[in-house]
Amino acid sequence: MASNSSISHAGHTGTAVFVVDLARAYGSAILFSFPILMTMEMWWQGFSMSAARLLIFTLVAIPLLLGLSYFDGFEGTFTILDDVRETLIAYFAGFTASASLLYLFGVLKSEMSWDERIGKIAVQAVTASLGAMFAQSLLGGGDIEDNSAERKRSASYLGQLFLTVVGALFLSMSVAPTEEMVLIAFQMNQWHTLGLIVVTLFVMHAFINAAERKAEEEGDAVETSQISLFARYTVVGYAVVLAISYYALWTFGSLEGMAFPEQLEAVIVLGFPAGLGGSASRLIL
Amino acid sequence: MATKKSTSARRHHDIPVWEWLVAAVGALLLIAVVAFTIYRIGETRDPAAFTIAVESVVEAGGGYLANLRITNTGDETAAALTLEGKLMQGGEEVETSTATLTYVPAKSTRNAAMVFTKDPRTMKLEVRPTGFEKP
Repeated sequence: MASNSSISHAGHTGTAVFVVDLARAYGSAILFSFPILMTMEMWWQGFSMSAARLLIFTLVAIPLLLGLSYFDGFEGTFTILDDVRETLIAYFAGFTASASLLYLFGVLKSEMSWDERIGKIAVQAVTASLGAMFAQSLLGGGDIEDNSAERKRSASYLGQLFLTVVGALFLSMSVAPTEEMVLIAFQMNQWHTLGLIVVTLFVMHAFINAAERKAEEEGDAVETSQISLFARYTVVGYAVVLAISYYALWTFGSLEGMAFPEQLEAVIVLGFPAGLGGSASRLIL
Repeated sequence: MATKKSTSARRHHDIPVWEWLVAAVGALLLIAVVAFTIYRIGETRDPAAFTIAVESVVEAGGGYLANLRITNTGDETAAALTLEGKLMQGGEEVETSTATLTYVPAKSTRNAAMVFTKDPRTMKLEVRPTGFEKP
């Protein structure tokens, strides 16, 4: 019904639809970033993260947001211009949502330098804007049916890997800055590490298998064997996930001063949540 | 089908000016953050240095609380900064207290307090930083 009225009163409902979309983007940004908005290690990143790493982190977000907008986003998109606009709106929502909540939590204070305040907000804005982009797929787009559902189902192999990168980065972001990643790595012996790798692969494969069967049912994929699926998606996905884990830990400076074996162990520890995010993304997003 | 139609209608007529406006503000924010961060990369960085001011002294819990305001004038953050405060009377040390600050970021100010049993208002209070961790 809503869709019919949007044809008859195009001008008025355009704004109304946008207000709803924007509100949903805010809700989604907050829902997905509140854990790190309430994490003190994340606040400290505002002054301990080097400017170069913050710059890379912010620049990495742009292609991810554009890609997510193509596959999903908080409103229907048809052209590249639509995706660019949606990306900028997501960044706006992510940045302002982070700034307001950090202010309300008393994290931003008047005696802080602008370096520190902008750093604190900018580092959170990346995750929050990704969260804003998740709005449509997770909080329901209702009557807006664009090309994204079809795009997702027929996503190429590289498209699937893209969703793996986004899911892995997003979930690892919420735990990577905490001290527990390195602490857990120190607590584990080599058998624990091997066990965690096996569990991560198993859970990842379960998610990938579920997504594949769903695609097959909908006629978007030809039947594939478990072995082929494991080799092409689970193993490759895990490699991508470990690379993302390393990047996330490097960004937050968690690997500083650690020897390579300990670094690798921390990467495998973070690879667990990152693997969950990376493999579930195709199913959830 | 109706939904398909409505979205294509939206595509041609319905992008409200507000939406472009919000996108423009988003672009400005993004450019500003990137520009500011690039500017920070090029900065020369002075080591952490502190100015410490005694803001006020109040009586509390049978003792005296000296409220301090610590400003890091350098470009590097200090973690676990320890302060030592000495109450001096006639060139003699009467009482010593310490305080630790978790973080004093570059160009920022933090508040702390030191507890004394004797009234710092009647004596000379000397506070100096004794050491910190480089995070």
